[in-house]
Amino acid sequence: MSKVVRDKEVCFIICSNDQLYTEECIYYIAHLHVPDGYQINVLTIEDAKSMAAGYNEGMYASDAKYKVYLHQDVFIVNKNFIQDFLDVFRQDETIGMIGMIGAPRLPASGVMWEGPRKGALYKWTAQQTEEIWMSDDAQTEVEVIDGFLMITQYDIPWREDLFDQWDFYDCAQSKEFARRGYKVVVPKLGKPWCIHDSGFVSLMNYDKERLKFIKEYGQEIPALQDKEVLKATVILSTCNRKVQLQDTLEWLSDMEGISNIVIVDNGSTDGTADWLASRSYEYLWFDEGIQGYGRLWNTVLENFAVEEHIIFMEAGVYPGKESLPELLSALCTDSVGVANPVTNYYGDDGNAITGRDALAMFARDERIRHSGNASCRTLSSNWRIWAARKELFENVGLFREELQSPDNVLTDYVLRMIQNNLGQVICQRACAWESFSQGEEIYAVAWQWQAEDRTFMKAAWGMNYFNLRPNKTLVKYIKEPSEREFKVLEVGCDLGATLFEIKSCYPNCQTYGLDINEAAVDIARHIARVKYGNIDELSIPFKEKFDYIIFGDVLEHLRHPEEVVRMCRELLHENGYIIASIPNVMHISVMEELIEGRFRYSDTGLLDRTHIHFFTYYEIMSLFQEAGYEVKDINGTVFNLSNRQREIMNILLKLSKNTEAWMYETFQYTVKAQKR
Amino acid sequence: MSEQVRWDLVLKERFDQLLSGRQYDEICTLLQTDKQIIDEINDLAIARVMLSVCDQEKEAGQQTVYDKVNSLEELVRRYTILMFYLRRFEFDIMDDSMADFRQFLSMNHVSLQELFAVMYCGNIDKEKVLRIIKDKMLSGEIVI
Repeated sequence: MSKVVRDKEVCFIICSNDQLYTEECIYYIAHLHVPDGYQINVLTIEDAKSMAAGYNEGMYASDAKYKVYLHQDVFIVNKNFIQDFLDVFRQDETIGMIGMIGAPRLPASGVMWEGPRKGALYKWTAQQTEEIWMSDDAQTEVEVIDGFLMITQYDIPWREDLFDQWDFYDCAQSKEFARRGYKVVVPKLGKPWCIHDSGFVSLMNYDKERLKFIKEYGQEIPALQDKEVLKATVILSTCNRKVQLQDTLEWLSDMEGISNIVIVDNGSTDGTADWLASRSYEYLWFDEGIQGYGRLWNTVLENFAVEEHIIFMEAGVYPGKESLPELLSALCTDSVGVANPVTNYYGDDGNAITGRDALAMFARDERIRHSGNASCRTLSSNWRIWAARKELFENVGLFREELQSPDNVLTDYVLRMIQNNLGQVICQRACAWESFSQGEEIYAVAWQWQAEDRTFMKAAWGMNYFNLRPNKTLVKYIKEPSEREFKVLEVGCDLGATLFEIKSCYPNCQTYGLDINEAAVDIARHIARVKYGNIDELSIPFKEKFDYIIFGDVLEHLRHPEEVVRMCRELLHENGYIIASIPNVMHISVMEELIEGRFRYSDTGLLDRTHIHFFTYYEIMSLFQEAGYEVKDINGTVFNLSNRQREIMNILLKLSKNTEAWMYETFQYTVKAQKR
Repeated sequence: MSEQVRWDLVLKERFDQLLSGRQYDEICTLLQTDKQIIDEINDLAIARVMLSVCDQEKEAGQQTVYDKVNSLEELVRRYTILMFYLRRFEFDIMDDSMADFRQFLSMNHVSLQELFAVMYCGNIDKEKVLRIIKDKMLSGEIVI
């Protein structure tokens, strides 16, 4: 017996596990305009085994033609929601499902967030509610839609047989509609139709569900059909780490993405050479002793056949099981020369993986956590595991054999690569576990190598040090919708690492830089619009106005910081910001020295020899307020104090009513000040 | 395979321990270090937003929001309900909930600082909500 369909009825179906949120969601539904002749009802499904199971339960329980499947944390703010979606369905009966966010073309990974999307919503996180707009404001047919809100005019069973968790039910349902010849669209929205309180989402099973989705629908994902299978040569170096070498080789033995392995024994004396000789591996043995890495890597490249893709790694590094194909994929962009995975010592968090067993879980979580941003540009490298295409060495040349320490060899190479307009990325979806202790030196000669390399690097690049890591603390003070277009100027941008980071977070941001080091400018101008200049001269070579001007540990080096900050008002848009990090001369470590009669300058730190001005909290506030800014946010970086320092601080606190403990504990302030 | 540590649960438990001991300096340290991790755990990110509210309330000589709750769950629920009410203002669906809102403000001793902080995070058209709140305070419909 066929089911009666009530074609003037709309059923809202919500899987619920939070009464507070569900009630609020229903409150908004109750305030929607219901077109004449129509009625609505709401079904909440409690204790659903999975989203697909819950939605099936709701679907079968209702005869309504139109069904709106939404998360309990979605609030429909468009009061004409019902009429608006009815209009979309009526214009074309082949439209089966409507969403608010969708991917016109799903990436090969199956992860919608990794590719361009269309649509709009108001997205809430704890820090702010922002309008996310990814639409050119026309109705768009998409391959999949995001499951936070899905509207259907036909009933098609949800694949609870396959998807028994809380992910990929949405992409699967989009594919099920497509299988039956229906379109899935994101309509012309005008303004976002709903708020989604994203909050914290458990993605523990995300990757497992993703693989199920790929297995079931892979033949129907165009991007997957275009994807070539990538394989690499692994160049695996070792020095007196025979056990780790054996372990790593076993780990790699069943790994996807490897064509061949070339082992480089860099002068081991622990029997590695004898062990290799008794096996059938391709290997290179430097029997004359330890070689510098410039020569080591060149020798391999010149003497062994390698694939189009090459992975350089050390014995004792264990890539995640699915990480190598991801790493090689990151190289498939023409502008990328080198790709690094995230490791326990390298990447965003400095994760502490307790052992190899935890790597699989770590790798899955990292891929999920960064699945909205698969690769980030970076200047800093990880010589212990990195990948490149063979043609890179044809274009840029081989490594400099004057350099010995592998980190310097790779840093030098990356800088040369940047001069050739190629970039380096961290591939967030690829992970590896480094079994070394933090700070462990693999080579006893490492310190000697560093000293010798320093001389060469200074002569080659004209710089005493290489600022390769971005100042992420400063970047976090930029709070903009991710798609927004705006302009940032960094004064004292050095090699451009922070500008790189900003561009990674905000692809539509235009980045500018100013620096007094011509060698640094020569590199940084490949990353952003960077020019040589000295802000202390109170003029800059840019005509633009900016939304943000960044001073990362710069103001204390200036002769006229007050005048510079005042001048920046002319360079900023209305309501533009200065973001600055400034060391705190009132830090207890300075006090500790002062009461002993010392005020010792050093090469780095609070009393850096090149610091001309010194600031306390009050002076920072005065600097900006008197220059016509309102300080919107000021935070401090603190470190643990010694008992002696605490003792001194407690005494000093008793001497003044105008000071507080945190003024002595703060090492550096980061301030965000808005032009008044 | 060993169990992955659920850092979110560890940190939330730690927060509750510190809150029950009224160890506010330690709470501050917990929430201010590893900001990136904290920001990804929604409940703790909310607690971090409330830190600045605490500072403002302390400066004004008032009881702080942390003094008014006994757990992270309670703090988050309070924040969420307040956010829901403020959004109802923004989207003109407050209707009959005004009385409930007044009662919520009164029973929970919500400060102006707390209200503004939640408005800043939870509303899109903050100016509209601010105007409405101000008007209602002037007319005596809301007392904070």
